[in-house]
Amino acid sequence: MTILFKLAWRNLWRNRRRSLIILVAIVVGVVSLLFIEGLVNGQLKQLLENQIGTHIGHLQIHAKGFQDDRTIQHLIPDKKRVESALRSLPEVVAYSPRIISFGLVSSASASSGVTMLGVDPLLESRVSMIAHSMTSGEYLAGEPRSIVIGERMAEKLGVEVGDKIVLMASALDGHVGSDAFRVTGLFKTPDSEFDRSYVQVGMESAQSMLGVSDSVSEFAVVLQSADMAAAVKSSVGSALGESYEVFTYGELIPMMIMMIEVTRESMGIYYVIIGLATIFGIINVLLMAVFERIREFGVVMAMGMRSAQVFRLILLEAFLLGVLGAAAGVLVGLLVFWPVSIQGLDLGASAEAMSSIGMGSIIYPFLTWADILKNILFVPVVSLLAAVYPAWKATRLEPVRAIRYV
Amino acid sequence: MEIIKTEQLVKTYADHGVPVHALRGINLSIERGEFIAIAGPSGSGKTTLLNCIGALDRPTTGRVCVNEQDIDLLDNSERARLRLHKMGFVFQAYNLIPVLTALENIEFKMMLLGKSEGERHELAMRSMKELGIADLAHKKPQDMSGGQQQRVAIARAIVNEPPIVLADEPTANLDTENALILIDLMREMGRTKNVTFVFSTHDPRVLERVQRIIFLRDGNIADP
Ligand SMILES: Nc1ncnc2c1ncn2[C@@H]1O[C@H](COP(=O)(O)OP(=O)(O)OP(=O)(O)O)[C@@H](O)[C@H]1O
Ligand SMILES: [Mg+2]
Repeated sequence: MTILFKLAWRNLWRNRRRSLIILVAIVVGVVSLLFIEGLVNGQLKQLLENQIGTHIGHLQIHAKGFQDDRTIQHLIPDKKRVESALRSLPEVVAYSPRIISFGLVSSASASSGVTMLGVDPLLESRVSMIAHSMTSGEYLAGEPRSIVIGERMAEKLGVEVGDKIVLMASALDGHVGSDAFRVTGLFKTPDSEFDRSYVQVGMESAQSMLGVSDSVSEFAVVLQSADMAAAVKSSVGSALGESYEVFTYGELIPMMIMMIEVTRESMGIYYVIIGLATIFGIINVLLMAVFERIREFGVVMAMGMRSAQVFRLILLEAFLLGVLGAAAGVLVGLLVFWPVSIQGLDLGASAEAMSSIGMGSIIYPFLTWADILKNILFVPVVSLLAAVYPAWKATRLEPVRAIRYV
Repeated sequence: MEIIKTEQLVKTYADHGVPVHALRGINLSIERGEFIAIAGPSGSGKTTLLNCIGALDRPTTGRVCVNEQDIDLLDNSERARLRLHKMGFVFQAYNLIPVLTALENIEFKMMLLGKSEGERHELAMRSMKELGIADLAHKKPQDMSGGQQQRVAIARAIVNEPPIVLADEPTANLDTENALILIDLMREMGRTKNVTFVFSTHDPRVLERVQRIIFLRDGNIADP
């Protein structure tokens, strides 16, 4: 083995320039794969975290039927029971009860459809990013009839912090409840759709306007990690029983999850493109290497080296090239990647378009061990594939002809 | 016992449709341990004869027997085995793998033979010592003279003490002095190890040192 290894390794460096060129090509390929992979990882993670962070949470608990018919009539039957169920679970980091209704918000000059969330400011600030996304004024602090709205909605309504606006929404008794609120702050989240259509008011103000005494329509729950959602869902579900419904974020934003999966899968195309380019590069290099060594192969085959052994030798040479390329590529890739993953990548111009699907303008790319491992394995496998044809060519040589060849 | 025997060996090439009669019915019988030169003008069929004996080429008609076995009945991998275990080869030039040292070139053959790493090294070194070229062990072919390279090639050919070594014009690229050194070395090895050497040459000074010479002319054995 060792002598074959030595032979393969030294053959690799017989034409230094050629090997270096193909290595550089492999490195460029691997670096770009890592970069694309990291960027997409960062984008998708941010997309999901923004959705979870603006208002979805990891889990939502409602009264049975709320998800299909989001009306004020579907109220949580027993708030205390939900709270004690959530408190008993160590995975639950925070939860926020909300009363939800749909209606209209009007200023002196304009009006707009709105989803009104009545929240407990302290609890809500642990679940959603709204409290931390204020661009002017203050978040809710418990004064009655205060409201925070998105910057975009403020633009639409033509209001500023301190102005009054009127909210109208369907109340429990079927009438339309309404009240005047003072804008205490404006927020801006990465999700421009949310900023255009959601407002938050204090829990008591909302409850009295909607006539629901102390009831709520939703608990939004944040867990230690997103992966726990399914497990916690089932334990909460069985603790609460039939008259409740519990959804994971995956069930609440299925389109987003599908989009993320499709995007992940479409990453394969980059591997195909870069893989094919690498294959053709390596085929070329190895064919040249085989043709240069025809006489040498003739001599060793005359000596009794079997064609299967010649085949393996060339495969080994390609494999070493691949391993070297992958190692160098991953190394260079990580060195380039590291500062970018810390500083973030400012997408600048395209940020506006991104924000309509809930993405910020600065992306923090990251790589998982699986991504790195995938690349470390990918290149040697591609090299082996590429070596098959040149190696087969070499086995077709007849020693008598090969030796006469000059 | 005859180690090599040819019967009515005919080899006809087709050169752009024109038949070329390289061998026209060679009958030969070679005993184990003989030291034999095949001589003859260019194009007389020396290389073709060696290739047929060495299981590198197949005769058009007739038979080649090695150890009383008709080698035409063997398939390609059996012929590769035969060459590896029973024969050694030395060609006119470029015998050695350029990226390996002299020692590694010999070890390479031991690897093909499936020998363990320790055995490889020991036997390779021993055969270099026997040929008086131990000091070349760590040189690459490009750092050796033609004569040195040919001696390494002989060391490689005999390292596993095969009964037959075939050499096609091993001295053609050497000056007279080196050619004679190489021939003497081959004869010495043949004698001490009972190896049958069959080599081609058209160098008269080399022929003076050979007991048995087979003259070829136009694919036939001719009287000297
Ligand atoms: N592959 C081939 N195709 C066609 N003709 C061939 C082939 N190989 C050899 N010949 C012809 O067969 C004849 C014998 O060739 P061979 O190489 O055996 O001669 P040789 O005695 O070794 O000559 P030299 O001293 O030049 O090496 C020559 O006429 C040669 O041209
Ligand atoms: Mg010849």
